[in-house]
Amino acid sequence: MTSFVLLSFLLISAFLFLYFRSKAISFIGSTSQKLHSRPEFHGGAALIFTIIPALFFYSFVSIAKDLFIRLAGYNESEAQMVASLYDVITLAVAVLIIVLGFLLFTKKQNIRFPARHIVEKAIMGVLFFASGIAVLTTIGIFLSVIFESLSFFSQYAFSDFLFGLQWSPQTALREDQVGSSGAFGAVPLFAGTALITVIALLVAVPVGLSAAIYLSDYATPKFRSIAKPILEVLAGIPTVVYGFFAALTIAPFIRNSSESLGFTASSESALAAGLVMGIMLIPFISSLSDDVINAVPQSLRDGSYGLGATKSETMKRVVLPAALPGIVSAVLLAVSRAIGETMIVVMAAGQSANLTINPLETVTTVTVQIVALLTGDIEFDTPKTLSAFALGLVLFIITLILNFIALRVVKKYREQYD
Amino acid sequence: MTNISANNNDINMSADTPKERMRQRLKARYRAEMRFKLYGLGAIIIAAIALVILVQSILIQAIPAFTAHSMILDIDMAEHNIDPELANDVKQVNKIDFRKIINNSVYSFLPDMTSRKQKKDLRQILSASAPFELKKSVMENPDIIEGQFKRDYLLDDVSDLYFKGYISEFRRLTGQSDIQLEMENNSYSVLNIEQANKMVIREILATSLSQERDAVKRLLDLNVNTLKRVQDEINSFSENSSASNIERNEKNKISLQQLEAKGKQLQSQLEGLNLLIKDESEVINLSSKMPSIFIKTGDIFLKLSQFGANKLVFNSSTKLSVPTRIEAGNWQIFVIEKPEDIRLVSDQQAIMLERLNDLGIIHKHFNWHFFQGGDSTNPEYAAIAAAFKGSLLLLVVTLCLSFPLGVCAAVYLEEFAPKNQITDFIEVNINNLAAVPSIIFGLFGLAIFHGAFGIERGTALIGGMVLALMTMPTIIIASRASLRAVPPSIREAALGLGASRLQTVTHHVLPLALPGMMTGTIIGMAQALGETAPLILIGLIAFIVDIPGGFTDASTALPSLIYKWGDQAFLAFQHKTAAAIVCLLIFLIFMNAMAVILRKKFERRW
Repeated sequence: MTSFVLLSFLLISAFLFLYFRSKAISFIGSTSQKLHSRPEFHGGAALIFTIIPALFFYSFVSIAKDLFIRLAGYNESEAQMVASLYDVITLAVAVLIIVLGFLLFTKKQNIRFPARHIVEKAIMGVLFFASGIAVLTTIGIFLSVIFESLSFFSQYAFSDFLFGLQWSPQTALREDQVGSSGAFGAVPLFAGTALITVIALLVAVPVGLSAAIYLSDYATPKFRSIAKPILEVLAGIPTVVYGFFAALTIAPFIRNSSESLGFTASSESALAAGLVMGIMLIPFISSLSDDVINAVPQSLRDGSYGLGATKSETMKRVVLPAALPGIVSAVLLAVSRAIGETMIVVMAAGQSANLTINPLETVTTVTVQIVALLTGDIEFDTPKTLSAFALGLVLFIITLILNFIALRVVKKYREQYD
Repeated sequence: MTNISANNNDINMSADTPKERMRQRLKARYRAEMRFKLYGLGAIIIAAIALVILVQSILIQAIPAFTAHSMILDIDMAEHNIDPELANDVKQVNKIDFRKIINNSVYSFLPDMTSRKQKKDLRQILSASAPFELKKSVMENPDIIEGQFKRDYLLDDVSDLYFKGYISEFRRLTGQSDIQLEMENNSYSVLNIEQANKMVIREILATSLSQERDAVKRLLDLNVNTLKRVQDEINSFSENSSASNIERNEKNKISLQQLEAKGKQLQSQLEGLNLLIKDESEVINLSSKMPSIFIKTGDIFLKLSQFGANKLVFNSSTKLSVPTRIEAGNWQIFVIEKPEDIRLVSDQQAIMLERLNDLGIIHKHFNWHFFQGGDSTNPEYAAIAAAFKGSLLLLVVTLCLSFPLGVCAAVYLEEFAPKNQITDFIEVNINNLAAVPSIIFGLFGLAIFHGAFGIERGTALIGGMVLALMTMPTIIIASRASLRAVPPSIREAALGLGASRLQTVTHHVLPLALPGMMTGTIIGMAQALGETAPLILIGLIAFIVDIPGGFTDASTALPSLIYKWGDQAFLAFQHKTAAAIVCLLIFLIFMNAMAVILRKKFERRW
């Protein structure tokens, strides 16, 4: 049905376009005046008067229809009847819109008709809408997590969620069983996330920063042409591959080597996930810091060299302090990546919510729990499902703040030297 | 610079003149310079090593998945007298007992395996999916139901791993001398085995025994330590004789006795093992904790049960008649080095696999099936084609949505947007979206696209929509950069000739910026291809056997398949996961190479 309607809309629009275009051509030479817009714009403007409002109307009603029928609460046969009735009425109205538009446009069209202005305005509207999608998405993300979170917090106290020490979302099957309500204290998740993030940054920041310094100020062009692709490949590897690597290569290695040193390590240790996440973040930090180090003007370096400083002294005492805000924001962005990273921790860190700072033990993170809570068949309205959205809200707000600060710092800093 | 001031004293002693002092200090500064440079080099080497280890570990695990072992079955459908009408009807075809047909065909290879246990082991050598494959071929070609034919079927994952050498190491030695077998109640004694062969067996047993000895030693050490701790506790409690301490000491004394007994037992075990290892005249009784050693002649496998200096005793459960004398060159010593207790394939199954292999019906080949089918619970039949198609569908949806929207947004922001707060707000939003964690997009898709718009979970459509929103910021940022690279003179020339601003952009600026935009889009698509977390949330990890046909069919994607297989405990699945990763990486390399080529070909310096 829908595809048939769309196809006929397409045919009609082709016809309208050609018809009004040829009509515009026929104006040429009838008077001494010049045609205001090229004939193609006349064709395009005709579509804006006819097909496009009809299409808008049709698609809007089609989307609203399902929602309306669901809300009205008809039974099945009634719903089907109402739906088909809607279809017929909608189609009739759409055809009416096209006919009215056709008549209106025929009346308006003449040699001085500013068709180009109309078409360009419409296209500008489309362009504006496209750039507005980003805003709509942000609003959509915010609304989607906030609504579900609010209904979670109506069932579970906000303070218990934020400060509770016990996380066990598995609700029992029967109401009267012990633990039937589940416990949603998120502190162990925050602690686990923080632990893994710290381990990852301990790996990524020194290595990434040193690599960036070397590449920007020491490496020969030839060396750079080898080293850069290595970092780019590391950056391009999907996180699920890192997760597999962490779970099947690094985690057993850590367990075996710590056992031979006399420690007991869990097979899903925070250390394994953190190390691999650190490797993943190396290219991220190095490319961002590379940019800010390169943005420090050469004149500062030259001044330092002129005073007799060596390259490393220049780097440590002039370039790095000048680039510090940029590096800090790179680290903040890396923190935000690490907190939001999902696949590595899902595959390599565990499920059990331990409150510990021992990197050889299993910890769980916010993202792991979101995935665990929303995998498989889900029912909305249970606290178990909704708690995932509450976790998502926390994650979204934290990463948003980090990103916002980091981007502001970068922007402000860049302006200083430009 | 702290090290310099710390070194000042030595410098003063050795350096008399200021010049000498300066030289010393300069040396120290150059050393610091060198160190600093090495840190940077070290960091890059660390990154390179990490990459090498990652790629290598995945390749090593992936290689076995690209080959598979199949068995050629002679299938005699006529023997089963199946009504040919059944095959023509999709509903009726399920009445045919394909499992029985396959099983009978397997049994026919080793007719002496008659007990229930043996038959079970035998039929488990072939994949459990083989009957479904037979059903598929019958449904494709109903005429075969009355005939005889040969067809290949994949082995079960464990049998496959056996032939790939992942179950155990093997050793095969050809017998150098004639041997004489003496039968005495179900076991066979061999007296005249050649010394060289005997030495090898002795060595294998000694290695295994010393491993066992080490394990016992560790237990003994542990025992001694625990004993000491309990003894200390008893001593400390007896000094302070409160009621609870006395009670606890009672318990401690009992456990002390138990520990002592255990220690004695371990001690004697250790001594026994030491004796067996050192003294060559001792008789060794083989257990299932030791390697399995067979004498093999033709179809007959005799398992070593007792190793003595003069006499080797073998057991056999075979129904085939065992010759009393075997000539040199006609028999082999066959060793499975991993003990039966910790191995996935029992001795009985290993014998069957060896015999089937000797029949020449098992062959190794490139695993084409891996690239043809859908997911399966049997690792040998698990394949990536369905997930690959799903990923392609996802990419199509993502591309169709994000490329036009991204380019439009970039054109607006770069060419038309007035400098005001709304534009600033949009820009901040786009930059922020680029850094929002991908899992949040999954939540968004779940709540808005699925919850509010009612699009089915697990379809390529909803997955592509979510991925499109994720890649849009990347495309916008790249497109804006390439629009910015088009020099203003182009725009000015077009405007000067009377083109409108829109015409300037669509006729002149866009065509010049398009290669750069496409490069950015391909890179964005490559990111989308590897994205997993949002797909899990919106249900693209279902168990998909059939290759999805359209955008609204339930599908899965390559990265989510990797996630799912990576969770499986089977070794065969681990290999398959690594192989799927290799395929994903090849696809990604291909896309990135395309982006590089595009950039090289159309890149224009103004």
